[in-house]
Amino acid sequence: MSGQSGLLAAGLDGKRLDDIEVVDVHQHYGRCFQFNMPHRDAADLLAEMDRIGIDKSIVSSFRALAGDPVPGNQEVLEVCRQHPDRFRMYFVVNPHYASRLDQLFAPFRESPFLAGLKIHAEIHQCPLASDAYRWAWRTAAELHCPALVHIYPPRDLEAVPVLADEYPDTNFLIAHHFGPENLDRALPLIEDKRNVHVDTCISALPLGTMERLVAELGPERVLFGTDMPYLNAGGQVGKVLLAQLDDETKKKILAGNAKRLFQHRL
Amino acid sequence: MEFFDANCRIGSGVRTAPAGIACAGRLLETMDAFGIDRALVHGTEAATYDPVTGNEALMLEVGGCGRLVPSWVAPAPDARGPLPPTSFVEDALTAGVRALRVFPGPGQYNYPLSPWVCGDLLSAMAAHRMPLLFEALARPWDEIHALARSYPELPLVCLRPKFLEARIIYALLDSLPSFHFTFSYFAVHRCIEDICHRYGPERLLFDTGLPEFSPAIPIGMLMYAGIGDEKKAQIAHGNLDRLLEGVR
Repeated sequence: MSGQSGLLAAGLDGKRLDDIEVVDVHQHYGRCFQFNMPHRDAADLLAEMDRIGIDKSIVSSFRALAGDPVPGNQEVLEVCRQHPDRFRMYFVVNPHYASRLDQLFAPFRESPFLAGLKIHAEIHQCPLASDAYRWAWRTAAELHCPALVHIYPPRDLEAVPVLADEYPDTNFLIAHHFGPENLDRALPLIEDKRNVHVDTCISALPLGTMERLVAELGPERVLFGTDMPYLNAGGQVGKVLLAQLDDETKKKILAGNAKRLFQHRL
Repeated sequence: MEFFDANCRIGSGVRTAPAGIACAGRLLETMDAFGIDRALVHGTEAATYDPVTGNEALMLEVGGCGRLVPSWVAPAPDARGPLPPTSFVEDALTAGVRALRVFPGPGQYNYPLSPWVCGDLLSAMAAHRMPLLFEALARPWDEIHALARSYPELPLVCLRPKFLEARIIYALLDSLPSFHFTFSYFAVHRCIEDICHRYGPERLLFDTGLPEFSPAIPIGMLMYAGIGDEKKAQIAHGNLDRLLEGVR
């Protein structure tokens, strides 16, 4: 292992990332119904962030995703208020509440903790191309806040480049980089869409995926996310640190790209 | 940290090997890149075509390389087959093989892991405390539960259960002392800490799924887990060493 990069060595040792900035663009708060999830309150998220060296996270509410979006979005806003240096939030856009979105969003619109909008086309069972999401694409462009989008493949794959062209001022951040099984189809579709980015979080990583994302999208369009507490944060940071990439690229993925994309909202 | 990977395969099959990792040399290069010392490997063709052919190819490929520890794929139960299960287990032990893997699932060799189908094999393995490795996706959980109850001396290693199956895995850990699992796909938040707290570190094994999957996630999960170095070492290599050394 001689000659290994500093960040590779840090990952192999499980060393806390004190010397670099780390921003997690895909995190959650609360309880997910799908499996038992130990330790999921804000104190636990912070403890895990501190142990790894994650400086700041952008969080969306499980309750807002899978339950009532009104108290769900509100609870994450409260978490941000309690920890203003560590958390920012995504406002979860529930397309089934499309007619009320302006009203529901009003308390968040001017909040200094709002970083972006969260779309989950799979949980909400609503095609990405639906009119119910048009409010989200317009608002993301108007407020310069990116939309973190969990697509429902394969149905939504073709919709992403179409929306990217239709809303050139909207930044789309595709959760889980479309899913590894969809990369062959998805990456050519967004190769020239500079307003489409991907995050890194995924439960199982085919060998070479990180290197492929950087090679095909460039080092500026890949952003670090953990999906914590849905996924294990150590594994998610490990995939960046242990990738066969140079340290400058890893730093862009871990923080630089997020700071550029979210700008003042971080 | 010394890593002993419980789940690798080697050799070409119906598909070309992922990332071109078809031979021992390429697998060892990849292991080196991630700081993995040893790996328990099975032959690709043994899983997808024919156990005897694939096991033979495996032994030729790993040769005397001490870092690649062979695990054979057990033949599917077939009363007219040339090799009785008891002889197969003895032959494996004679060849230095101390763990067997099965591929009984749909699209694989298609049989239940039940005493009335493969009892001879399971009894022979249990008599030697020889670990049985199986993929989580390949079997109904009730079948695994019944198997463990029928052969309590048989160490079971479930490979790559998915994080969405966490409730099932916890129930199996609760009720089956012989049940172990690898955590590379069990990407639950703080799962290593939680399982160590509830059950101790003995039930967790490190694996990668090479050459399909990157070792980065399981290495990151373990190395950033909030447990001491001693427990990390147990999980990284000690538990698999213990199971293999327990074969008699």
